[in-house]
Amino acid sequence: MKVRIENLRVRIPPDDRTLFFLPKLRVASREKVLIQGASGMGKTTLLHCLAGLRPPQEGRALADGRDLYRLDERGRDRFRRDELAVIFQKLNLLPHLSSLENVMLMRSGGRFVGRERAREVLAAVRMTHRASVLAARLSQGEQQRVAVARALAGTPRLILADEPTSSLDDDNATVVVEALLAAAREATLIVVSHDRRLRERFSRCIRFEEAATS
Amino acid sequence: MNAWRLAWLNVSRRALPSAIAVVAIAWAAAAGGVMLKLHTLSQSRFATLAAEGQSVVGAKSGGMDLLLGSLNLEGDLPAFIPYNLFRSIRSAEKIGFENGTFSHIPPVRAVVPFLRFGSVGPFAAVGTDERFLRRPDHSDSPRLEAGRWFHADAPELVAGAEAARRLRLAPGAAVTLDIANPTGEPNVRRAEFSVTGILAPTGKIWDFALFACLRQGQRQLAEFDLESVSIWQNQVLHYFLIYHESAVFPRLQSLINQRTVAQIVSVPEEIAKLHELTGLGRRFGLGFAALILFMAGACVAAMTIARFDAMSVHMAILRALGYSKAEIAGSLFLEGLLLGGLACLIGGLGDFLFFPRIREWVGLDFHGYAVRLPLLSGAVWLMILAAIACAVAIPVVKLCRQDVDQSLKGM
Repeated sequence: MKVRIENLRVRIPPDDRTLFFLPKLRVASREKVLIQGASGMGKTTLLHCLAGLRPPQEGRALADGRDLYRLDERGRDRFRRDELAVIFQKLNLLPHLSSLENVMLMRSGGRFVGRERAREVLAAVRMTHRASVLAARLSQGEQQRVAVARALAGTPRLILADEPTSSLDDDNATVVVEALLAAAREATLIVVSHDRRLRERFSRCIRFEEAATS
Repeated sequence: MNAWRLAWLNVSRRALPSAIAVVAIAWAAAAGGVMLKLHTLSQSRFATLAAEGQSVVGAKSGGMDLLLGSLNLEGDLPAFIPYNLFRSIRSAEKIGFENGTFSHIPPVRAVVPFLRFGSVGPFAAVGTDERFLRRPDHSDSPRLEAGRWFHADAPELVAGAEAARRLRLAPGAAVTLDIANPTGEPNVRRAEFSVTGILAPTGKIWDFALFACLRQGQRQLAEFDLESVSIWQNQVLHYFLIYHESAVFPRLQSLINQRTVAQIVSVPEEIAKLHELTGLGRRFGLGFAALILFMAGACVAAMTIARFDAMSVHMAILRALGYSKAEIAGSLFLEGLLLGGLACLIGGLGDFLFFPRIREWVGLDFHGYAVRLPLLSGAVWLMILAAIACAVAIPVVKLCRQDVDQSLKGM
């Protein structure tokens, strides 16, 4: 999926100041891009804009030429459901569901992910042994791996990952990145991270403060 | 994961809050159902009350007890009154007293005796005589639909229409009566009677009773040791109805109330008092039932709103994963339905198990035609489910206005 951003401006309350203005960003289909930058500049907000969750005050966010904010709400729901996978900075697992059930929330090809597929992706992030444990009882690192597994369970054409390795040790970070890259073989991958270990794994690295102004 | 599975996991994995919600809603459903049924029952007594005769005579007690005991066959067995009093009034004899004085009985048009001497299940067996069928006004006389009236000397009875239908009685059938021990001791005798006739439906309490000859009833009582409860041995009855001119009542009242062990009350006056009392009770009862129902609905709504309100991040996550608002609203509604359905099931079971005892406890365990009690419980359950559906609407409105971006960031 090709991603394009044009003159994207996001303002924040209470004084409506500009959080960031990103004049231009193009990501080619199946490209793997790492965005790095200081905290508080709006990287997470940028991913939410690209996920159709945060309408910008100005500018356009396009996925395969479709302006996400010209789509109606159902259109954006369909986009998230069928074409997108997001790994959130706060992970956002449902705490009362098990690892397996969290993964089974996802859909692939219009159908809910089955038990087998869910186990498969949990295995890819070395979480099979914790499949039946409630998310609330997992460590931060385990939750991060489940969040990654959940994003990989469908057949997304665009994967957005917000700090996917922030709580992981080197070994697990490698596993997660390998899984992400493997899953993203047929997809476009945009990762926001402070993690320097990731730089060498991505073909393109963007410094957010250079690309955007505030 | 479809909406049903999601709803079920939300209910089952939050076991304690779900259990508290279910118990509270079940309690509301049961209390609402019981209140509404009690209120309706208290009003239905007027449907079966046989407003007959001008006066009723029974052992000294409250006028209302006399009225409901004799003309609606309610309550426990009352104390006996002497048969001689009935006979004297019926034949307009002089009554002689121990101090040697006499009183003249004013003339009356008819007297109908009642002696409750046994039962078949919930149906009372009443000893009476042919006057029961031949009232002076005719208009309120019960009519035989099949068979014949009983013979005075035989263990025979005539069944009221509803009792005959529910006990599947027809002329010629045999029926075993439980003869209650009037001394209050637990031993119960059984006696075989044969059915000689079936009464046409009257729409009154008589439809739920079995009628035998007064003498047969007295004979059955004679089998018990009556010394402790009757100085007249088995020459007793419980009530008698008197048909008379209204001018006669003060004389009867003066005679019976002041000089005998019995008490006479005017049927129209007692019915008017009962209407007055239950009129106040009706307004109070209806208000109370409405209050309970409102509180039940409000409690259910508040609990459901609080539960769903705490799920804003949960809903934002699902929105971010591509679940539409309709899917999430459906899942919330199903969750409410699960909680409400389970609660109604438990509340309904409690209502089913305990209502008969509560009904007996508050003295409303009389027969009735008009009340479809299970329907009333059903109405309460529907209201509870409607309250839950309304409660779901509030988080759904919030869902529609939700800023998913902010919710996911935990702001």
